[in-house]
Amino acid sequence: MHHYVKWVVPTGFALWGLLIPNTCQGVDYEFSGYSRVVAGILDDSELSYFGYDDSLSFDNNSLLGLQGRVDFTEQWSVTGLALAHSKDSIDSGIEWLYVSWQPLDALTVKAGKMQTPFFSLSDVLDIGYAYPWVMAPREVYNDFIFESYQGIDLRYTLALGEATLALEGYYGFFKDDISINSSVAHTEVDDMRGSIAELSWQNWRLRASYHTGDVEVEMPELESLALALGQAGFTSSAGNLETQEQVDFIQLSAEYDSLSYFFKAEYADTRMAMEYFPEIKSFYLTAGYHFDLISTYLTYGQRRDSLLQVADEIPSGVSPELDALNAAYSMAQEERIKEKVDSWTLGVRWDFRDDMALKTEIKNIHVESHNSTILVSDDGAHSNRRANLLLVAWEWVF
Amino acid sequence: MRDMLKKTPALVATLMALVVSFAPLANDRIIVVASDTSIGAISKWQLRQIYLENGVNHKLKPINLPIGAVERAVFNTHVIGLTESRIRSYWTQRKFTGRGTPPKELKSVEAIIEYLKQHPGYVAYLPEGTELTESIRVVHRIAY
Repeated sequence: MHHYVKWVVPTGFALWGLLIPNTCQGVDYEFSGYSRVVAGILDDSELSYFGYDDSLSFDNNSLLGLQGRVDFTEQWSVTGLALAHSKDSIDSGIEWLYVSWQPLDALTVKAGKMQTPFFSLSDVLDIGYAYPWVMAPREVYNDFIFESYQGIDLRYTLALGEATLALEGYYGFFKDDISINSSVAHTEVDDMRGSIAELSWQNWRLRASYHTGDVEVEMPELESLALALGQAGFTSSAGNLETQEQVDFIQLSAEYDSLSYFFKAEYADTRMAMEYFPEIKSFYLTAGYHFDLISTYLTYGQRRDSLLQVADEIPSGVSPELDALNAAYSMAQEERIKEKVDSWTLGVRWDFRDDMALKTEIKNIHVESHNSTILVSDDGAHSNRRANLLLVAWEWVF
Repeated sequence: MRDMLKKTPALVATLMALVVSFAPLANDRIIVVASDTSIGAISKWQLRQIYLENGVNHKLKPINLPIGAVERAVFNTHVIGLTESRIRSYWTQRKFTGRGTPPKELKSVEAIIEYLKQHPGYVAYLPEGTELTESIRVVHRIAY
């Protein structure tokens, strides 16, 4: 997309919001939005971390989002969000657009294009104002996770004395390019479904969720190799290169927030029935203190991948053809990714205005991975990598 | 001595003024009221849930005073237990995920009283001493 074109839709939305009175023949509408400018620099000239390197950059996470909601009746409304991202490789445009129906006070049904509710924060990762960090822990909030899907979502809220329990379930599909192993692959998820339970009691908020779907990642090189292996009779090896299987995802989180201190922990386990991709287990722990308008926090994040055993059935030294096939198969398996990441983040947030915040954080990242896509090096030989990232952000909601 | 006597009324007046001006501070209270006479006392944690869920699945819907009102700051501190910016972060997440909107906001104590008179089933916080009608009942008290 041309660099300037992507700003047209949100700017148009903004002008509409400013110029037109917000009620018209009984139909109410509301405009709101968020914006963030994020600057970051890494202290190592040979590495990069989610787009940040040793030169100061502003374009990795800076963005502007504008949401419009039209209430047709008390029960029916339509919500849309246009997003302009500073980085061209990240899609800008209509991020979500859904119809909302609230037949009962406690029941909301949404249908259309919506944010994926995988993690406690996955549907607000773009809205930095909603969380303490500049960069939410990437060990848990990893690149595999796509931000929106199309489908239907039901949410029911129960009041249980002094507690509230919200139950949510959804069904839908996803079809788009996602970032996998630092390259872009077309991905389809069918029969995507999940359920979420969220309990709020006193200062606590607990969330547990389970998500599953049939995932197909298009990787043409692997497909042609699998075909050749299958034709040669090595069906187990061919099966090991399949990139079309069920993926299960479990998430648990706990949060405590008070006037003075806060605590947040989240755990996620992604299980893929595909040998080519790892099982990913990750979590983070955050503790922080509020000094009125200033909050400080310390976060530890961890990600551990594990790979399944793959078939070793191709004999070597029998024929040059088989040796070539074996070499290609071994190379494909060698390219598999297995991350081992630890990070520590120390940061400060200052709510200098009711609708704005300034944040800064320093993150120490340590990677001991095989083919890391987290701390990426031009020189692939080093598997033990360490770097520090300094980030500064300005957050705005309106 | 004469001088002293002359000054006494002024001194007494000053002391009186001090007593009068400090008197309301000595027992500053905020009352939480509901426009529903069938409701008894409501606990702090229940009030917190009502405000943070905007009354979803509760008998009562909450009303806020604007940001900057003393009563709102006291209510946030003593009942919600979060700062204004934390509450705003919370509603930002709710609003942009289509999971709820913040409570109704009215401009002044007078506007709230008027609204409560007309609309049963609402809850709001007010300074103690606010004149109430028969249809409005005190359900919680906050001393600070």
